[in-house]
Amino acid sequence: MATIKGDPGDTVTDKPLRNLPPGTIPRAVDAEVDVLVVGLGPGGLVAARDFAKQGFRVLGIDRKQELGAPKRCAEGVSDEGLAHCGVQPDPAWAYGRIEGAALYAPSGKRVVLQGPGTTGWVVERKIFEKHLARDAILAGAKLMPKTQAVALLKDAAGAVKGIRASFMGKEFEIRARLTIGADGIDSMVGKWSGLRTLNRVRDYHAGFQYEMVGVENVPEWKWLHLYFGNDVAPNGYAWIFPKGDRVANVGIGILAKESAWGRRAQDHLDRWIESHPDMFRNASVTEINGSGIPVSSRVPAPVADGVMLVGDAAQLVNPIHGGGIIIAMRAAMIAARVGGEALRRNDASAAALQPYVDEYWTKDEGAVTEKLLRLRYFTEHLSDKDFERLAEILDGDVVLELTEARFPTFVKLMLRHFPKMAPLVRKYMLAVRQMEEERAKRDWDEVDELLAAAEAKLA
Amino acid sequence: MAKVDVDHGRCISCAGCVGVCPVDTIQLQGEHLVIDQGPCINCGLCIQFCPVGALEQGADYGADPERRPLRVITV
Repeated sequence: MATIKGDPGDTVTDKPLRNLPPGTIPRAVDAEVDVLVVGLGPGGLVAARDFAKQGFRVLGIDRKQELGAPKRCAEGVSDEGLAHCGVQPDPAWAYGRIEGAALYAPSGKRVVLQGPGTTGWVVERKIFEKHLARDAILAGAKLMPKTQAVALLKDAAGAVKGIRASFMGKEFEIRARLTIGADGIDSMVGKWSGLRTLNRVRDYHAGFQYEMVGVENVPEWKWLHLYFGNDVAPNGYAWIFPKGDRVANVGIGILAKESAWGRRAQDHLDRWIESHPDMFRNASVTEINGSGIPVSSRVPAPVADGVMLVGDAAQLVNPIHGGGIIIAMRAAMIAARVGGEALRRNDASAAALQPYVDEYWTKDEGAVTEKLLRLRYFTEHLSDKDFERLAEILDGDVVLELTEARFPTFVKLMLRHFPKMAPLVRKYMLAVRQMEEERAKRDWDEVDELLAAAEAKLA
Repeated sequence: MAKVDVDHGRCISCAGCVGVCPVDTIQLQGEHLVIDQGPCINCGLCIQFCPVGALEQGADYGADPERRPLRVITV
């Protein structure tokens, strides 16, 4: 065995930095900052950017040694969302231009969605994240990849005061006035904080995806393609998200409750791809991705003393289509604004952070996703035959209204065409109505009348 | 005796199982899935969730009739 000169103890990974601020390059050395961000996906990076912009000392850590990979994501983002979050599309990561979406019933019948809300990009996450990280670092944040959170630091009263981390096998402490848990579906910050972040298999999708090259005969390369049906994907859908010339993310999400041997997400996707040789005969795989997709609309509480959760960690995902990049970034912007105000008042208690929850759930995406959760439960009752009939009567505009949680048009249409579904609609309506009591009274009254008429016809 | 076995060759490190574990026994360390068998209640939710089938009930564990999987949380 070759002998190496010197002493292993001389390695510098756990020695303080000289002439440089902490976090300039990763070191396993105790640090103290204003804001610690755990997890550097889109949510964490936008939070880091926005806290740094306010002049706070920000340190972000991620357990992976490369940000953005491996992705757990189909990589779709909307123009609207990017603009809201102050991110300029860049050809370096904006790969596939999207100008609509097609939803397919099991027979192949399709509904096409087009319009201002349906445009966007399929991005290359590993480059996208690098650009978000650039914005965060240039705003003043420091980032440490390959650094894993191993425990929370709490004060005597139980308030979170940072974390115990590990870099290259050496443990150290990062003390922080505020900790942002942006650590994904497997959020340990959430669990350690005592926030109820558990995903129930009833509200959790198992996702599996291949990134493929050589995909052919996709009906339209500027659309996202979503394939429904209980054989294709139980209570979920299969997708093709075009990502440039003959490249696409081809994936599936199924309700975790429906997963079983031989009927796992991967089994379903493999079978679906096999049944479409026209598209995949000349294709092959460049990436294998998987994920849990939280479709509960949110965790019960995303804040505790000294800690805020954003993104998948707070289950902030659209319950209908499962997209979460923009939602995570939007929530992170609110978290940074509310958290910043709290820090300036030197009060990071749960009460001081509560405006984050109020603002997200009443004014931002949260208000919509909560209602979409009801729609998700409703669609889970649909048989393949129902999907077929829906595909016949729905047009793209109605589906678009649905994705914005504007339901009355949809319900009216349903009742006119399917009086048989009245009992189901009644059940669904009760649920939605509880949440919408003050709103849209007139619309619902009309639905009531139609529903009564349909039920009378049945009886 | 392992309650849940991980087939590391099959695991794609997606960490979805971590999100369904009701007693926080699973963690992803780097890209490596680690299960703390001690607190595991053998509920089987992680096994059910796994998109690729990389988790299985421990071979010797399920055989003992006294230790049938305890399905405490299904909904």
